[in-house]
Amino acid sequence: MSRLTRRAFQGAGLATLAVAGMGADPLSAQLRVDITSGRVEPMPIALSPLFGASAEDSSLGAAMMDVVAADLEGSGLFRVIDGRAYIQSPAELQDVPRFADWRQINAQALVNGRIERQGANGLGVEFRLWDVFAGSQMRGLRYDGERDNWRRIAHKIADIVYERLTGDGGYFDSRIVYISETGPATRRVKRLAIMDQDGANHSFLTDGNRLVLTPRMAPDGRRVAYLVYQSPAPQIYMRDLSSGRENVLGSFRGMSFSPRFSPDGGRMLMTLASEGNSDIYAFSTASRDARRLTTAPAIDTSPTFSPDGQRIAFNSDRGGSPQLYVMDADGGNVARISFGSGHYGSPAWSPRGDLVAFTKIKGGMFHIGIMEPDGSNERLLTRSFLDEGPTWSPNGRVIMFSREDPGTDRTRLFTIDITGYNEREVATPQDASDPDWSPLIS
Amino acid sequence: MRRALILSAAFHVALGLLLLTGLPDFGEKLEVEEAVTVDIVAEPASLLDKPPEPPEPEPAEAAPLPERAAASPAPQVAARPEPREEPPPPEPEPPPPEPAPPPPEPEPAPEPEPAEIEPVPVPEPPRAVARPIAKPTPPELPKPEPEPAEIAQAAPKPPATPIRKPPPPEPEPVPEPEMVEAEPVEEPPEDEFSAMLRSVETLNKRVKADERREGEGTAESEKAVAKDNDAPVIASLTASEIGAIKQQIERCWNVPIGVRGIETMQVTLRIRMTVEGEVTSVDIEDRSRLAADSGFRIVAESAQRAVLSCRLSLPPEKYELWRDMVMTFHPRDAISG
Amino acid sequence: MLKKFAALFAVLFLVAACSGAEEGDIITGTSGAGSTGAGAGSGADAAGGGAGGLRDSDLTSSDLAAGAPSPGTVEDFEVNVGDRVFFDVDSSSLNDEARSILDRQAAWLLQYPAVTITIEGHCDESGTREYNLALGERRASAAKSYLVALGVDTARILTFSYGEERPVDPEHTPQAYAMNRRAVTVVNLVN
Repeated sequence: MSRLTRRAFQGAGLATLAVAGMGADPLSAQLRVDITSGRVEPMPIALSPLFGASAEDSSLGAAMMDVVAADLEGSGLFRVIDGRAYIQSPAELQDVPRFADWRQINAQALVNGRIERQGANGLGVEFRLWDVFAGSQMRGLRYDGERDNWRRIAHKIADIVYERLTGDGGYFDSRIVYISETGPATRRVKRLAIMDQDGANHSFLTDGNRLVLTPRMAPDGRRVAYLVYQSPAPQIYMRDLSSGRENVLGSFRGMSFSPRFSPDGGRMLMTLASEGNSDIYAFSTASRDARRLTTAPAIDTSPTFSPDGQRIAFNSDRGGSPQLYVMDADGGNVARISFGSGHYGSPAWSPRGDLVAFTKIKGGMFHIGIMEPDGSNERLLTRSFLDEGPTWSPNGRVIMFSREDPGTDRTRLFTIDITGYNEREVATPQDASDPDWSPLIS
Repeated sequence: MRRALILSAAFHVALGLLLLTGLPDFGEKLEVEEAVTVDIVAEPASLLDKPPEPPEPEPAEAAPLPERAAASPAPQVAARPEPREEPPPPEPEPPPPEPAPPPPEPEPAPEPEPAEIEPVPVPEPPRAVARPIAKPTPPELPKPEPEPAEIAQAAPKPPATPIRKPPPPEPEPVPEPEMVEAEPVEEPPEDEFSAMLRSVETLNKRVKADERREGEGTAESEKAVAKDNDAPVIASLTASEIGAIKQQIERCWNVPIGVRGIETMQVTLRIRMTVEGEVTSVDIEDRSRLAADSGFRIVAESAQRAVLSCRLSLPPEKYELWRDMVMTFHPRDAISG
Repeated sequence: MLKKFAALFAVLFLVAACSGAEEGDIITGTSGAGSTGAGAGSGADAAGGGAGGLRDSDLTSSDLAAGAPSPGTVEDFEVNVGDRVFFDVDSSSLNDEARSILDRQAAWLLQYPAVTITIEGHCDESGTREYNLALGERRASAAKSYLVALGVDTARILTFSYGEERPVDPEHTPQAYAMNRRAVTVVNLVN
């Protein structure tokens, strides 16, 4: 087999192994092997509880690593090896790990570290990520913060580990705003709620006296825009999270809804409905101007900015049924991108810009799907009686959505990886819908 | 307090050292360095694996430099991220909501400002709301926020990462003609991950399919198995011997499926081994890409890990044929079967 | 089930005593005849505020009355005229039945010119939430346009969309969905 043919062979992904035999080749004596298969499963990783000098610190250190473990396992890309299998204790681990002990349990990576109290409410945290088989440190970081924020520090550790081992940005130090629901369907009580990405630090932001819908978090994570039912027409409100203060965005002639922030936070897309026609407007928070972007005598709603702010995907029935379209940020160059059978809605442009997630309704079933911004490569990730409202994790690889179970009438939040694997329910105190995933907290 | 003093003192000393040595800034530097350490070079008698040894200068000790350094500038550092927490530039507080506009074009009434301006941040009701980790509260606590301080390599890390060297104490290698069996790596599918079941299932199918396909190619490979020049005595490795190597490595390779664009990557390693089948070095080709492409680096590391974690069973009499080999990993094939 | 919720809904508008029989009429929208000729419009301002365009969890009916609805009252409108029209899937077109109900509503409104109304548009849950907000608005506007074409002053009519937020039938059946795809005319009596 000549080199040429062999190369062609490899190029086709068919070659499995070969040995070079050309005398002129300096590497001719080398055995060459092509590896074309492997284990595709979560990476086994060991997370040693962070060491603390006192019993109290030790338990906090353990709790922190539990948070890290839940984050990493929740991604579906890691399998945290049971701590009972660990040979080295956290205390012993203060030095360079005895890698042999960790190879023994096939930990491909190891995280260890320690915490120390600093003053009344201070907390110093150090951690290191090791490549067990290479015997090298991959990352080592220190955080100093408030003890009360230990969960956030843990999420940051998880983000660093995730990033170093997957090459993708992490997404654990982020929050979710959503609508909490209670009561019978005919008189559903809805409240604005917010929580950490993993469900911790949950709190309600409104009391349920008003019907509220479709919250969206500002890129800076400090404000939330949402729809409030009021007379004479529902309007978009903006709430400052730190002060709890809220204001109506503007009093428009008809109903204003579907708020979406621009990537820079300076503009807001929304829909204004009047006389049976719904159009998308860009609202400048500085000039307070609303500029009309669509003019079709049809429903145009659910806009979503591309991450560069240059384009907008939206939902319209101008063609006779609800479909997805894209246009320039100024409303020009409109093009339809959904062509499959069924109805489409609630597009959400990935923060990476490479995909648009959407809700698809077909044959009486709902799906969450993704497609490229030009409409190609459509893939449906879920299927159920009612899945809707996709929102992206900060790194653009996980989608959260709400699902209603017709049997129990419960509505819950779920996440799924863009590969279509790892569907998981997100725990919330009550029923939940309309999730919106914040960028990484900064 | 005392600790603070010590830290401070240490920092100053460190700073002095830095000035003297002209050491560049930590964070970045370290990062790059890490990238480089990825590839492994033969190691004499590992410093690393000798555990009981040095009472450990305590990693923290070694680390201190960067750590402190980053910590002390805290005040300023903290100040930077702070703004986020601070009330945004006061925006004109808009008048209360009023029905405004003209009929046709919904003219947004210069309504109440979207809560930009914060009236005295009230002790937030939603106490869960965005609280940056590091509150500048404590006097000199650095913020976790900004770039966390990169900790220095704790390990007495020599320029070259020691490869899993077989120090006697370790239940390691030992030339073992037998294969796979002893491999701890092969192991525990104790994975409960129901969520990943589908994934794993598919994978298994793929692996099998792959193996099957592989078998088919045997005849072809047989021919490909070249004659060796410098080993006049031994003709060559048989196709099944090569296939065994391939299979062993494939069972040890945990494909990092989370890496974006992994299907377009390909990693080639040059591996050198002792006659006992011990890996003495693993060099990643295309090293320049390691630092620039984190995804590639991760795939390369996974391949390297596969080689290091695998106990290869090889025919000693043909050592000359496999002492120095080149292995190319094809993630796309591994993932898409 | 359906009946239970129909009753609940009725309570929103009717006085507490008006249970039973009328509900069916309201739901089907086929109220009896005799609507237009109701005669004396004097009673128009008899009833109190009643349900406005906005309802929420604390819906309370205002007045209590017994017996047959007096002409010109909210009850009269709901029982004898028909307060709602229904739509096909993903449509805001008015079918024959819807038009005949709106014809009666227009006549009634012309008879009691002091009355203002809010038309609420609703959808079933088989669409996305935001699309349904827009669709509900379009349904309400379709009904409004029809009334205006029949001579009702546009200034007397507000439209309001609930999207899929306030189903009248919570079941997940085609029948329930049909009941939920509606535009409901809510009478605001003016004193």
